[in-house]
Amino acid sequence: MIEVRNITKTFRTVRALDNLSLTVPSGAVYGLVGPNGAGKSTLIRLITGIFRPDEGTITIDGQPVYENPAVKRGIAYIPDDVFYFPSANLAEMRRFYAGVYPSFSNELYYKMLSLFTLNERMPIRRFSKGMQKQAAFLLSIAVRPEVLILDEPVDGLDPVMRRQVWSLLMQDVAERGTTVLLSSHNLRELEDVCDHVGILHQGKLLLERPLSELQENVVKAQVVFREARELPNDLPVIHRSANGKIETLILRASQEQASAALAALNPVFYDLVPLTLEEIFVYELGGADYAVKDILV
Amino acid sequence: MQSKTSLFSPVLFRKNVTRFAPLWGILLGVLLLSGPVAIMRYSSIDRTSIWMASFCNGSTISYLLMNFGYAPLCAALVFRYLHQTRSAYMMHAFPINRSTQYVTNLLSGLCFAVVPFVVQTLLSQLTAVGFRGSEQLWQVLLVQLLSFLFFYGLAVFCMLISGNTVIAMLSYVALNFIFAALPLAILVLMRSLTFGVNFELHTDRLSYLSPIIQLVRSATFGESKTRIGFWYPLFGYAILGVVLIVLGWLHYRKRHIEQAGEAMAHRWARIAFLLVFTLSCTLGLGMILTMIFSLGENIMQAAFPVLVFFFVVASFIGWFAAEMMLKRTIKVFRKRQLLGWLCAALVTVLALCALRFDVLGVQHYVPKEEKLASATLELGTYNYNINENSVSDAVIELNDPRLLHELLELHRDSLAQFDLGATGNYGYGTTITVHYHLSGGRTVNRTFDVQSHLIQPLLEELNTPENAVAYYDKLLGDCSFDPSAYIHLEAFRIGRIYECREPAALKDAMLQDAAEGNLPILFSGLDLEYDYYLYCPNANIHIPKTATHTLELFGVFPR
Repeated sequence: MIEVRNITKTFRTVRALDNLSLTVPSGAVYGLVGPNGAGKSTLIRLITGIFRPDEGTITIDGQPVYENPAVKRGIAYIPDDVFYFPSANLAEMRRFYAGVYPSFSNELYYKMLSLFTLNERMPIRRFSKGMQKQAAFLLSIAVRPEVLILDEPVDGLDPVMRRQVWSLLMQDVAERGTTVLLSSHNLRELEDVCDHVGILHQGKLLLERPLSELQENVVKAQVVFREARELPNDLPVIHRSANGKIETLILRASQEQASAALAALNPVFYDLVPLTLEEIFVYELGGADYAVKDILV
Repeated sequence: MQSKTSLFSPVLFRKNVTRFAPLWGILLGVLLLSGPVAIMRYSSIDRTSIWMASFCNGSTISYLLMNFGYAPLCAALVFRYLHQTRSAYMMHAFPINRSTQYVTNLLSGLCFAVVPFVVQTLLSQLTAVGFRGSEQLWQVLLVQLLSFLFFYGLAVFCMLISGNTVIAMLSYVALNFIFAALPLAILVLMRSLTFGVNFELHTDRLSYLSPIIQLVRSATFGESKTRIGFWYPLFGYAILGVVLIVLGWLHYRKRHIEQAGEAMAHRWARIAFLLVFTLSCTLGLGMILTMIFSLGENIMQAAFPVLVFFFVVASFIGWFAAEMMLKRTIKVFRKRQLLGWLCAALVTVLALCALRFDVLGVQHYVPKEEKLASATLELGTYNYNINENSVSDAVIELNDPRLLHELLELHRDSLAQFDLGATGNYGYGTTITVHYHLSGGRTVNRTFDVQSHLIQPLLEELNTPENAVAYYDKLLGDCSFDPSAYIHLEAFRIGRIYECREPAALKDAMLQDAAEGNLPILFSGLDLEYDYYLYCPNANIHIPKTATHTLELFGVFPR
């Protein structure tokens, strides 16, 4: 389990993270979302032990991360802008990873290498951006980490490769119970892979919940009333809009509660539709003074 | 629980050694060519200890200069990752802690030099079998190792306190010269802006602040490569290198990795950089601007307001250029930075005014007679034998209270002339340098001009044969005539050279000539008009044709 407690990080005069706390349960796939400059990459660099926090603690399974190689041996990290030693090829990087990470599996590496179309002997700097990302995935998965931290992991990959990467990731999580923390702008993709979501804005964590809980507690209803009417005050409406006679209501309630409440209003017709992650964020936080729309692709 | 790990990472070390193999491979090649191969080439020609000594002396200087350039290259290669955000982040995401990275990278860089040095020396020793004096090759190895340790330590320190490789390398070069250059520039400015105050330029001492100059200078002359002159400073610098390495490690442990790419990676380093850069720019650029815009006049001749103006302009350029480098933007003209520069400009103006208007009363200080024990007088254009055409440095000791009184009067007169409007100590008489020895043991040095007719009575009183002999006795004693002195007979225009086999007899003959008024003349520079020159380690002395005793001694020069 990754535990971030009251972390503050300042770059000269800019407070990038402000007393932030976050918990990633073991085996969870945690999606970190937020607009540009929210502090996602800073938080990830703190969790991977690159940055030293000004205040607060970061632990993985109770052990501090910063300057602790024993813990870092269990972490694989893919940054948004991947780095390889200049003029190194994949084989050289494999040797380095194998030397640094005791858990590195050459067998897994070669097994996955056959899935990607990468030349092991070609200098990585000659790879395209997408191929460099693939190489990073290849090396990181072959580490067989306990914690996998990914910063914008599928940026630059084509749709087929994106699917393949997510598939590999999910397979690893399913087989080995890897804890995954990933940041992305793309909520639609996160919805497919994440089971926990945290939203970051201006260095603070606005919201942190299991995705299922979010989806269970917010429903979208399409309702047709016989005539226009006021809704009762006790109905937990987050958002209301109308298109002709059809009204769309976003309710903070479970499916059963929403169904019972709407039936009591005796409408001509009503239907409950599941919300996307994107819609949940918009409606949950739309009223607040946050640039939630910036998060969305 | 924090893990206990080794301070050395074999994986990282192997990566460094293999990645940078071309670098140390080239070095090894160069060393083999300049060491064993060179010795083999000469092995059939000259196997004397003199050849080996000459070879080792030449090698020492070459390797000092080579290490000056090679050490920062090694440091830059192994620590460059700290200056690029991507590489810095990636390297610190790996499960290798900072101490391990530092020690491993440090050792990698050391190996790039130490291994080739040792291999070269071992092979040189093998090829030098049969040479006399080949044990000196071990000394060369020691020079290579110690000098590399210092230059490498300094370069590593620069790489650590900086966040940018170019700035780090510039800092490395600057630190090799600036601590000698800055005091020198300040002294030159102080000399230029004050009248008569003879600020001593101890270039020997200053050169210790410039390691590369000090080491090369002391290694250049074989005979002066003594323990004190060469080995002690070399060991001192090597120890300093180790201290810098330790400081670099302490800094690395606390370093903010996000400062990769910035000019300076530490707050105190930023402040030091800002101040030193501004000071250097103010002095250097200020002097240059003053000279350029004063139509080539020197600083002293430029009008004082002009000089102040250009120094303030130079401080402006220095301050904001440093700010731009530190902040990596040209948008530095903000209130806080402007206030900082105003402070720097104010200090500059105050310092210049303090010097020019003698706020501390230094240049108007004339010792009181009762406190003056003695004085040493140096006459720039007068020789003791009153030969006005010769150029020599006559040094006269004054102890007589009456003569000391006259000297103080000359000094006061000179200051009065200056206060009446003379712009400096140039152009209206004879320049004299006085060292006042005060009764408390303190020495005060002054250089000023006196009108020629005012100094004549003093010189005539001093110009007695007894004084002259005493003076030359001391001078010739200082010359320490030894068998290495030789006579060059210009009269024959064939440049015949005789070794001085009886230095004591020659000295006596010259003193006898001096007592009779036929004084040998010290000279600087060649003057073929004269007949004989005596070359000795500390001076060149012209023997005039009238010197009968010395010439006679030459005529019957003993075998």
